[in-house]
Amino acid sequence: MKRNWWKIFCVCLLFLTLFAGLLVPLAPGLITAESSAKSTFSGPFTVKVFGYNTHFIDGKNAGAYLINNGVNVCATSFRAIDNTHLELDFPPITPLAEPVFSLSVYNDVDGKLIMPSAISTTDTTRGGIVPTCRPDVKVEKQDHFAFPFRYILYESMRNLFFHVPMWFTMIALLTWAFWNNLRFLKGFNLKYDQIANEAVNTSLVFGILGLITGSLWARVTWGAWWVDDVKLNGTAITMLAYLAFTVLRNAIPDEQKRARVSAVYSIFAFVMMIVLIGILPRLQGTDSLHPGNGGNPAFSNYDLDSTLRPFFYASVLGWILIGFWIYTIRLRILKIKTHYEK
Amino acid sequence: MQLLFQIISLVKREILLEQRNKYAFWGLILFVVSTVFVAKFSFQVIRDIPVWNALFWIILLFAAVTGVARSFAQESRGRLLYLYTLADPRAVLLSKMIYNILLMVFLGFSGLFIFSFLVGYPIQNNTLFFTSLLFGCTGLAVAFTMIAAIASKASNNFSLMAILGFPVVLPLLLASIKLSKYAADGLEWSGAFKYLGVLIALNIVISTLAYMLFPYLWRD
Repeated sequence: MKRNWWKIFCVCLLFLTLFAGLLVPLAPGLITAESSAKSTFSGPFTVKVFGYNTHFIDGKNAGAYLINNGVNVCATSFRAIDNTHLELDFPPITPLAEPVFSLSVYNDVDGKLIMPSAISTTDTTRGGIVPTCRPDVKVEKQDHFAFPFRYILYESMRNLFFHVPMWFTMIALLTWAFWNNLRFLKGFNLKYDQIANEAVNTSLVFGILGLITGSLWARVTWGAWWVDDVKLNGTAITMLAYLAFTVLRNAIPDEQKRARVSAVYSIFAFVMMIVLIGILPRLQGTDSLHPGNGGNPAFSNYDLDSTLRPFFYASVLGWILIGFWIYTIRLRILKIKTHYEK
Repeated sequence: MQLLFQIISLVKREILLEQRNKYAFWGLILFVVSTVFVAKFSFQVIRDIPVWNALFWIILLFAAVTGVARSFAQESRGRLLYLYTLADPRAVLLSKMIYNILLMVFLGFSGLFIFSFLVGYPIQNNTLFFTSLLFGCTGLAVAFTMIAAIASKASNNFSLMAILGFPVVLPLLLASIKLSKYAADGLEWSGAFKYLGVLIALNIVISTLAYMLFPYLWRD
């Protein structure tokens, strides 16, 4: 028991990831807003709003307003069709500077929801008389626990607990393999070669899982199964290099020689991986779609807010631990096999 | 100092060997020429700079695989062992590296001549392009020499060489292609410096790694 406490810890962390990661609801938000008229100035217009996880009917003290250059225009009527569909009537408005309006809808349950650049107008005139108002928002924020609502990501945000830790686990296992390759070359002890080999094999499983989860996520958010992105290419090439490592191992029958040659190649491949994943994406950072690159905000900024953060760290630790758990089992199988072959 | 003398005489030996069977060298040149002809007949004239660039570097990549793969495979096991006892094994590796660098730079520039003669030459900043060609070819030679040493330890040498080599040289190739793109667009040096830095750093990293790891590799 004393030696296996980390396995129990790992199972707990993964259960937390699975249950909390999949069951914690997403915060309410506004997905689309459609205006009945192209121009906001020619007459009163109606805006149809589609929300997600919202409570347009259940929420009390509800209201809505449009925002243009810091000036608020309240809706004259608020008709909730159901909890996620809403129709709003607005008086004619002339935009102050930009022809784009943000929409804000509020009630007791959801708090204040804001959709940036919700509707635009074809009007070219600016200024004029704008019917301003001071909306009476009772509750600014909803108080129950939920993941943040982000455009484009929506529910796929939960993939954060599965896609990102796969790469962390792969890199952790590869680093462990690299360290053991070095240890092997120091004393030519075949024990370290077995360790390195099984660590690489396990890391490949996680790499493939990372590619699958990433591909699914890319389809949902970027619209394609595979996009041309430095990080994708870098990881794909790393996987190729380590697949080549397994081919190389199978090509050499002699144990000692195989261990030496594959250790040398593995060290080579690891250094190249550092260059591919760590250095090159930073140089051409402008053309990566991943957060933290090319003007996209990093996880540390606002994407990873305080509700996501603890689950994210738990999932990373949990997946790394299960990666090492799988690796120890594989190593034990290999040891038993070699023992009986002798 | 002794290492240096050993390297010099071993490089001389490599050149002498090459002179003795010239067909291998001219075969390599012919390989480049025929690949360029294939490119010529499939594309006619290439005006699109990225395509020109990619094709040129892919031809060089394959030339490097075929050219450098010989360096360890052509020697019999006994002769290699004899060399390792005569000189420092690292000297053997370094001499092969230097010889392959000379070979690849020659192949690169002659390949460029044939390629631009047949397919077109869209480069505007010549010095930048030649620098990138120089360091790109050096890098290819250095990396493939090490890979050849690894692959020669296993049977089924040639395909293994490609499988092992391509992922390893890819960062190098990407940096070279990026630099050539800068040169083709006629951009100034300032923007290209970071890629040039990466290219030179990769050259240094790969050769240092090879130098450090070869002592573990050569023993049978």
